Amino acid sequence: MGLLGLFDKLMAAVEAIFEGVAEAAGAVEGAAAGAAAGAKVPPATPPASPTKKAGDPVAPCPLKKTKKKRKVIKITAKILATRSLHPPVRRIRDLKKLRSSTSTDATLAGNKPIILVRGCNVLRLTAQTSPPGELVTWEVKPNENTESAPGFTTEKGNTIKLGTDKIGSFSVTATLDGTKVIWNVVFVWVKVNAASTVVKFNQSFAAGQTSADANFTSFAAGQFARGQNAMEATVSVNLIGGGTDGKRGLEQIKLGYLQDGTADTLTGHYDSAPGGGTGAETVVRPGTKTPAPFPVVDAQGPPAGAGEPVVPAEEGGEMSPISTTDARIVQVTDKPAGAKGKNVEFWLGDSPVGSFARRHPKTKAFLTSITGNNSFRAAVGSFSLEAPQAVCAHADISWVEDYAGTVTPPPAATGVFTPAAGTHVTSGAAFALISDATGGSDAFDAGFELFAPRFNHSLITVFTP
Amino acid sequence: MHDLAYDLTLHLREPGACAGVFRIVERVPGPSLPGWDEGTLRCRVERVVNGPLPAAGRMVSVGYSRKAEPLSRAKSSVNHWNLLDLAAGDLLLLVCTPGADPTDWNARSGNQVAAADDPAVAGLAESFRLRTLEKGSEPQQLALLAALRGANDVARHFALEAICRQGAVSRREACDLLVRALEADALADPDRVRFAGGLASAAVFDPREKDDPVNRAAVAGLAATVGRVADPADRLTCVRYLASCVRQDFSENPGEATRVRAALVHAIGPVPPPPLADTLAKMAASNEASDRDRAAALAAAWQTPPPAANP
Repeated sequence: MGLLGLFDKLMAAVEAIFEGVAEAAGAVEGAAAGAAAGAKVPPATPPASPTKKAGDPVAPCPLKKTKKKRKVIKITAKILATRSLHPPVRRIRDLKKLRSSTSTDATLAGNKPIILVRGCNVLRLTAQTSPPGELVTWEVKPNENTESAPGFTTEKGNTIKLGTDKIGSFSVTATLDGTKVIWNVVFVWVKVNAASTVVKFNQSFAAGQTSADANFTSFAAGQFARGQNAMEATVSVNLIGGGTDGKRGLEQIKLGYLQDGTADTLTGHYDSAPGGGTGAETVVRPGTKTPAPFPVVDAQGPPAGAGEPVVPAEEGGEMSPISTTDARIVQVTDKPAGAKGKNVEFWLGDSPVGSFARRHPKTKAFLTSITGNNSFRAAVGSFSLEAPQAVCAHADISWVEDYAGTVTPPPAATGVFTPAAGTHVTSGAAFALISDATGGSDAFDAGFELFAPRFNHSLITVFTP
Repeated sequence: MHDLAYDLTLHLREPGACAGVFRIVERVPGPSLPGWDEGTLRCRVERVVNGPLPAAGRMVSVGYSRKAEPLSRAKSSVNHWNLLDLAAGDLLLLVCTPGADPTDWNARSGNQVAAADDPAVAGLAESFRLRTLEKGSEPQQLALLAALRGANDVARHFALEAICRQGAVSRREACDLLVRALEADALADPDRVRFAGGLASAAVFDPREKDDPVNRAAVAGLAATVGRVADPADRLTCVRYLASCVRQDFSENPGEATRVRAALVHAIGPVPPPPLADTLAKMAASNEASDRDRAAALAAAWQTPPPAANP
């Protein structure tokens, strides 16, 4: 060994001594901070004693300390995607991974928070350490926020499950031996003012959706234009996000119209002599004649915009289960700002249609009357553009369209529909809050089906006889 | 490919929006996904309503997209292509944007019409004209009021949307136009209810302005509308609009909020006028808890003494 080798060994020995002092100091500092905060969750087990691992350099000298400094290097986050209500279990495709953090900056400006909807699905955070598998201490604190911090529970290893029920901005800190990583988050409260609800109906079947030709008769109250839909509902919503003004992150939140069909008793009666029979509108499992269980999603075609939630469509490709931008059925209009956050007016409208073949395929009798209804459950829904796989529901309203009426038999050239006298479209008088304590919940937890079959696509007429 | 909207006025603000009456010469189905019928309509321009469409008599191509199955088509009527026959000879009134080629057009809104002089054609032309008038000018105010009071469904619909959701006029002007339109005898009840919705919309009723003259006029206009519609269901809807205004969070100070609510309802009168009182009595006895809450809130506001007038 030359002089140079001896110098290296001496330096390594000095370095090891300094590392040991620093670690001891870090441990004392961490313990003191934990006691003061009273909210930290310490590692489930004491830190493991330094052990030699495969690939570790072999110290040529007893003075050389082999243990590396332990540190937390990253927090990753994952949110459980909204799942189907009916089996098999399907989940909205993860379009976006939640942003991870390696930052030690607590500020919302310097360490950009992830934006989520309050009340959204289970959120799991995992700390990565060096060396891997070292247990960290977790702490969650309000950040530019006077709300109390959400609770969390420790799961396996360095993973915690974080509550999503609180409002505003928070910092989640993972600490290990005096090192830390901070992951900031904003839970935006979609606060529906149910008392502001106004529902409006169009009972007229006079417009263009009610039509007849030689082969089919269609009938509907209203038209797909604002002010003319069969059912429309307006409600005020206050969005409260992060920061002291409640405005941080609001641009990431999209409100939308969720709707499920909840029952379908629509029946065509073929009572012209000498035939007879009925035809029952039936939602079926895709590609089968098996009736699908209710509720069934009532959503339109392809996704309205990039980065929005998508589920597989029956006909192939994907479709959005929540309508956000189609001005024919949903509009979100900014209102004058309130004390905190942002105010919007949420409007939705729908004009469902019934339709039957004019002749019974077996008895050849003509369509003469219609009974039954389509029932729906509509909701103010939302998602964050940073987590479009998690769709939330905040307030719902049930409504029904009754299609009772008569249809002209031959000698009329076409089967013209005439609605029965009376009210055809009815609903609750106001939106009802879903999971008020958390400002809403995941759409699955709220009992909404977002996956095919669709109410407006997978339909057949089941004829009797 | 775009859906087709039934609402003819929905896409007027899009860059390059044009409108015309087209006669279908031929429907040419193209490659489609299973369950879909997509292709091109070869059309002859019958009449140019607005914008640089090819002249009448020229041929253009317009893409369409609809469901293949008639039953599924009827049920997916939000895309209006699904409700159109698209037979050779049919006339379509379409709002289009330019396509890739001068003869290709993207249809955004449209409907079948019986003739090139269908009232919807004139209504659409008037809607385009209303867009060109100077904001806040007297000609604009007169034209919007005429459209609101007029018999043309398309122009009336456009005028209401322009006032309530496109910022065509100021808040005060919006309130004034709607109140004056609601006074017209010839207005149908469904339109009165729609205009009442306009008075309660964010374009007119602003809670930050508390009981300012515009908010007071909006509330008074809503109350007057209750007496102008015949159907009890329409009266109920108007009172719900009224309640949605009066029950706003006007102030974090409960006393101030109570004062504002009292000032608003007393702008209607010292007590609810008879048609409104009848509806409130029915709401108070309703099975709907939210309607009972509305009736109670309005009654409480009336029971609060009116604030002293400003000196």
